Amino acid sequence: MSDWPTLPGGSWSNGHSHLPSPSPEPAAADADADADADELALDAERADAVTLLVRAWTGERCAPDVRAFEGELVGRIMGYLDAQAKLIGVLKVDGASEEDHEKIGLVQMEMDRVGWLLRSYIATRQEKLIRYAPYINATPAMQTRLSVAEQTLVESYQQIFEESLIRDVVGNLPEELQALDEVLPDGRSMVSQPDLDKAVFIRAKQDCGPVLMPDGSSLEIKKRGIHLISYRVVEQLVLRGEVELT
Amino acid sequence: MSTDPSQALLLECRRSAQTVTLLPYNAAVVTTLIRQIHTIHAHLVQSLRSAAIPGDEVGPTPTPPPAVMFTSTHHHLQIRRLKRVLLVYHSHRLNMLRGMLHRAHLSVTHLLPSIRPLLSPSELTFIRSYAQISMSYRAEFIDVLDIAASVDEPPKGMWVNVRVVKEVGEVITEGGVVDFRKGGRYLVRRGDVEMLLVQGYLEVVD
Repeated sequence: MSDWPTLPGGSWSNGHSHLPSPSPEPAAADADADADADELALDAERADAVTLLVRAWTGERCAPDVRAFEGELVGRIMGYLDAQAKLIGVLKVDGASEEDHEKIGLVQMEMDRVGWLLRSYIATRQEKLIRYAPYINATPAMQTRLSVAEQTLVESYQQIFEESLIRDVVGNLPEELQALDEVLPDGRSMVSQPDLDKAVFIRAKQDCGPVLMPDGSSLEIKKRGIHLISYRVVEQLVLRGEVELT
Repeated sequence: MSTDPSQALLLECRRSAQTVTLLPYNAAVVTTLIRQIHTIHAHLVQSLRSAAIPGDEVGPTPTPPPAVMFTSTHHHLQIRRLKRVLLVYHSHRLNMLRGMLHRAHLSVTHLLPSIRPLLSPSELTFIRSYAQISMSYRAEFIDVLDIAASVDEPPKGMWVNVRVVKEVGEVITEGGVVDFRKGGRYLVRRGDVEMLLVQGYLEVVD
């Protein structure tokens, strides 16, 4: 296997050594510092609303339970879409040149994509909200993660869902059997809950120290480490933003 | 072939999930199962009563004889299973309905004619109220964004090639008036024809 080092893949770890390093870390670990520099540059460049939306969307799609609603971000994106739409309206009326038309087309496409992302974010949440409606309504901690409109949605959904079940099923059963929220002696509940033990991919944004695993052993999560791990183990890290779901 | 009617409901759920179609509401089996539950419940109450020592309700309940324990546990498990089957069947159908409504862009009037004969009366009420609450949720965003539009696939480009399946006539789009004639093919902006696609007037050709 003597030809391995000649592969182009072997060189990318120190390929950017000529770049000045804005990283506060000592330059001793030069490959590491370079990667950090790249990442910092990327992060600074991409802290705009759309990137944040992409992150929120990825997180929402990967997390087994409902995450906090990014109200402020959604507001910003909506404002952005609205402003762009108005701008395009004005430009079109003013009779734009050929070149402008091309640009308008690009902007519209960008808007379509951002709009899709936002719709998908909302739809993902909506699906989870509805699936776990009885659980969310019974758990105040979950309700604080929802927007006002979402809370209304969850409450009214549970109401119509149970109404339907009562009319077709439990309303016709003997009185002792009418409950819809029983917990069986073996611990299973009629109310379905998010499966927090679901495996998720995480990417550490910083060193997180050792994490206690369910079997008692501990796992060191290093910066930029990627792990496939049970959500319950890293839930707090995710909430604190030290790792992100990918 | 199983003679257990609850099995029939589970089988229906499975088939409907695999083929993504809504099957007709099986009122006959549902009624049978509810009756079964009532019968078993009556047996259960009966056997427990016969085992209880009369006039001794305040004191600690003695363990009933093994025969009674056995029958009552058996009855209890049976009831629990039947109830669960019923709930699974119904919530599966409600979820299915929800999905169909979303695919029809929350338009009940568009969805109902095709599926009405398949629903139980309470399912009909459910889907109407669901459309209503979804509409009011959608109203939060409608000024800028229509969240009822499909999210199955991210937009690949602005333009889409469509074929006219049902005669539409003239439609005013952002780019001008388009006359959709049956069988014709047009290159149009996706946003302009989204609704026509859902309603089945047009179909995407690639």
